[in-house]
Amino acid sequence: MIEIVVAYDERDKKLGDYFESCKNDLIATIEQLGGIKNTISEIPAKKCNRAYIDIALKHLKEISFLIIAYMHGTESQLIANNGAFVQVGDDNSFFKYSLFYTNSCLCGKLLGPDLITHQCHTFIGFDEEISALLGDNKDISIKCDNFGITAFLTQDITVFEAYDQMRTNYSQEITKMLSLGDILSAGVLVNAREALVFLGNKDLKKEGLFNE
Amino acid sequence: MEPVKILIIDDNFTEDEPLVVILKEKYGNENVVLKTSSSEGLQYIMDHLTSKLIVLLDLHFVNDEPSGIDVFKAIREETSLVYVIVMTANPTSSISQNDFIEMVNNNAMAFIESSEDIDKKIALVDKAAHQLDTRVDSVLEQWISKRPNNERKRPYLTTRSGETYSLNDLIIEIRKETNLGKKIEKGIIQLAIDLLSKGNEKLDD
Repeated sequence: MIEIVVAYDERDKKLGDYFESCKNDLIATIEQLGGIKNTISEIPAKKCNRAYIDIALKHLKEISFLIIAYMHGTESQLIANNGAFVQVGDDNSFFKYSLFYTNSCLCGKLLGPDLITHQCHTFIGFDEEISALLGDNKDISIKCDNFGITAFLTQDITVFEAYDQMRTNYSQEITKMLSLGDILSAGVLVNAREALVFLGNKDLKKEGLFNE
Repeated sequence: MEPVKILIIDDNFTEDEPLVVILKEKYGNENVVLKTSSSEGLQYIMDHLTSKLIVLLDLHFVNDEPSGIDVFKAIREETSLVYVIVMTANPTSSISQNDFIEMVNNNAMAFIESSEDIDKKIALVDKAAHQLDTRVDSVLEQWISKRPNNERKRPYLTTRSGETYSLNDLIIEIRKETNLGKKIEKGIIQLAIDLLSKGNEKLDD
């Protein structure tokens, strides 16, 4: 069984809907997983703090798990509900043995490396400010954000192969945008692809996250 | 490709000035405009912000007209994409240090004394025209300006800090060289490099 934690800041005034849409898209994917037992712990904005995690999710502290975070980021923090959810300088040993996947900006610069030093298996995120497409193209950004973790969960591949597929998916969407004559959206997706960061264990597969 | 427009703002010029005549021969009558009033010149610029525009700007005006440096500052408050060549009747050393720093720090393309050879002035205009044709921000601005008006007003993207931008907003970001504007340019350059290195698109379409 895989323990999956999905944290999201649906209360953000500007991007709450986007973060929640990302979460819903992922949950729909997970619910369609056949043959893989999993437990999903959803952490909405009001519970996105260390106290809640330390108490409600203490059973994860010494086991492998997957955590996905949809919220704002800085170089050293993930931010939800106007407070730090995870940050450099805290005792981040809670995340040892985790696969940490986030669509937050910038946190690949300092937070990602910090988590890896705390024995986090793998970190996938972004190390630059990135943008999401809106209007008819909103779903493209959501799918691009979730592509890596979806590939990892639905295929028999390593996490690095999933990351590689994520980059390839960006390139395919960029090509589609170009074929539609939308060079600006293509450029936005290029920025996101180039800001992707992979840190840690490349060989991790789903089995590496299984617990009894 | 859209032609470059050249605006001369100088109260000492007339339509039969050799520089005006030669520029019209080279760039077309309709693409060379003379304004002898600095306020009218500035208004022309504001009305043509999406054009590829080169401004030959005199510094000194009479009769309560805005000075050249005031016109320059007003341009830069709106856009970094207009090329400004500053013309002075006096040696450039006569420009005050503060004005000189203001213009250099805000990308005045060149300074030239009015008494210089016409060939030198034409060469500067040619150089500016070439750069306007090849600057990514200029090309991007033109691409946006050609989109239908209703499309330009719709929300187009959001930064992960939550700010929402329409294409019209993005034109301003590009013109003002904000972080987002520069990031968009960077993405387009990377995209062009990708296409050139992969060769999987017809770039001459």
